[in-house]
Amino acid sequence: MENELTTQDKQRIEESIRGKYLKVAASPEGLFRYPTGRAGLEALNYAPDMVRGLPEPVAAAYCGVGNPFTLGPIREGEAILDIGCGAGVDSIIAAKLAGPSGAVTGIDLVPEMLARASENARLAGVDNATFQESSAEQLPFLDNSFEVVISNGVFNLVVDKVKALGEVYRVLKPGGRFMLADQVLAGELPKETKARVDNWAR
Amino acid sequence: METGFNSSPVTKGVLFRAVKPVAAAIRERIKPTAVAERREDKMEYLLKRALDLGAEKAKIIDTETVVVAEWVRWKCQYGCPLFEKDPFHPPFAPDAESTKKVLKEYTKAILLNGPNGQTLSEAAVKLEGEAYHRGYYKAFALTALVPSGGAACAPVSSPGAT
Repeated sequence: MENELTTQDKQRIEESIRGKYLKVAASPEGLFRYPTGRAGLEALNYAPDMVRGLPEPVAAAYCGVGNPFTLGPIREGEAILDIGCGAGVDSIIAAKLAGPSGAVTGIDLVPEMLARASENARLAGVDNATFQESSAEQLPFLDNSFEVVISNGVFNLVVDKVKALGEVYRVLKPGGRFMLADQVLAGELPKETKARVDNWAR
Repeated sequence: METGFNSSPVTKGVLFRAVKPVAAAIRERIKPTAVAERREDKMEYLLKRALDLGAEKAKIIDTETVVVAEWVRWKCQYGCPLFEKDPFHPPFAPDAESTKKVLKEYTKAILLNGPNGQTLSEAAVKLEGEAYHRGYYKAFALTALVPSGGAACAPVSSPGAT
């Protein structure tokens, strides 16, 4: 279905994602249909100690759709990739779990979100997380680079999901884990391509 | 597993976990393909094994180049001390006509060469088994004569086609 999209459609989708998340970078409050910020973290059963330890501006930036850390442990010293890190809340939690010998790399399409992620990492006292601009469809990393790939509410926005999943497989080390929280379609898609493109990032 | 965080009326928040197989598991998964070893690779392997097993030289030949002549049988019948002694010699060994027919059922053979007939015969029998296990189900070892000063040869016929 995604193959029916033209290059222009894909550009419009990316523009709409950037537009929406430019606002989210300022504050996610009121932009989603589910709880965000500290309330979202608590509702999704993030570790209470971890949530309590997050400075308010960091916790307030959270807008995830699930808790990927319920899918398995992050071990000390592991290398973790956060695809679509947004304001970096999951990256920061992963960095704390991996400890000083571990490392987290967060990628996102939106420079404003990356700036917010870097600032949040500084506020949280995390220095083993780095952030860079990249598409999920073309990861700028060598094969077998990470023990864990996490992502939260991002793959539903990716245009070429097959390509992005292939990239996840490529950069994961053998035995590496992919822990994903995301949105799946539970109803009908708009039939018209234009309507689908317009609604892509809503 | 649903998270309860749904970003629109037609989507649901879910959790999903996957693990990239470790190398051993990947190898296991692709085993059927690996078993379908290329024919050239199999023959190369068998040639190498022939040398490992004691042959000084090993070569793939076309079975149609093997000359089968009646006079050999006569030479054996009149002058060979092993005549009538075992199934590998006349009159119990296959005659020339039968040998020609059987060779026509094969396309390739591995010709072994070396000074010790017994070593070559043992190598040929072992190669027959290894060829069988690589899919050459018709592989058949023809044993060599015991050494008599000259070189001995023991071919292992292997089918190019069934």
